[in-house]
Amino acid sequence: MTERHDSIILHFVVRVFMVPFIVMFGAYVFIHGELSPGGGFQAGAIVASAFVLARLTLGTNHSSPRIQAHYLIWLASFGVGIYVLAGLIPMFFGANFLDYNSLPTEWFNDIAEHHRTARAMGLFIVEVGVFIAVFSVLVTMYDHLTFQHREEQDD
Amino acid sequence: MIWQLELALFIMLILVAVIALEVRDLVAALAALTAYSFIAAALLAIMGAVDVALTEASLGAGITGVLLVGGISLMRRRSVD
Amino acid sequence: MKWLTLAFLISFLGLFIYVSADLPDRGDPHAPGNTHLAAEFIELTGEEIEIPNIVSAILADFRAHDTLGETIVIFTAGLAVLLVLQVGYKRND
Repeated sequence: MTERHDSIILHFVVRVFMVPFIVMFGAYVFIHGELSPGGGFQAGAIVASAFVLARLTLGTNHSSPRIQAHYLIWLASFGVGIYVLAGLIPMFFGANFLDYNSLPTEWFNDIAEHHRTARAMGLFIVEVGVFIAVFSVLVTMYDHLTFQHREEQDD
Repeated sequence: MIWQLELALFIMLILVAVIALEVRDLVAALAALTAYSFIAAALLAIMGAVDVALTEASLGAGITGVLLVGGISLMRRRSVD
Repeated sequence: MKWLTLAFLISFLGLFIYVSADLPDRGDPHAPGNTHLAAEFIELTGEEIEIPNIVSAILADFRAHDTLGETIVIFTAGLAVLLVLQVGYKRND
């Protein structure tokens, strides 16, 4: 499952149409998570499926971006850390754990000149954390499940 | 809210679940499982739970199949029971 | 023995179908499950969070602890795959 397929049609369709479309759709689902169905969890799964598709057709060693598996688990813990930080920062302002009302987000409203409540901002930060965690965990699972194939292929 | 469509989808759901349990080839069982997830996503979308339907379609019908094929490729392909 | 199990399951199927006639309609606003907290969530999402998607608001704000636990469960699954399948890991040197 990790070798490169020698079909120019497959390469063309995957590289030019499918992977960019799936990544763009995942970004749409993520950004519109507050307006329409979607959110960090679904968008993470969709973007991870684009990466897995690239690894299935182009080969794990040839698909770009070439993110190694042991860096991806660091990325996953970074995503969980964003979530926990979004919960811990309100505690320094005297609120409860995960109480976004006291997040300091007024400066962002001044820059963007668009009013968003602090709870909506905290919700978006949390979705970013979930997105990073789900995406990197799913790609990590694929890379480690197909690791033995890659080892046989290297010999 | 077309009840005929819902009934047909429910019958297909049960059939595909029985196929996934009974078939011996694990990759065929996995294909039936993916079809089960997709039909379940369609049913949830009909019921109006679009968020859950999107999760089911992207996770159950999308990436779980690939991950389970990766798991099957580490072991024997036929089930023993 | 197999027929006994089958008869048992069929009797349960009949019981479920009999009971399902008494269930409230799908999406009924006066059903007992929809009267207690759901109305409050719908109201508070419009007042305090000001986003249109109530499901996102419930998942990441009202029930944020649940989502934190869910994210940690997924992270733990990734760690478990990494630990179990790295047994045969050897570096090329």
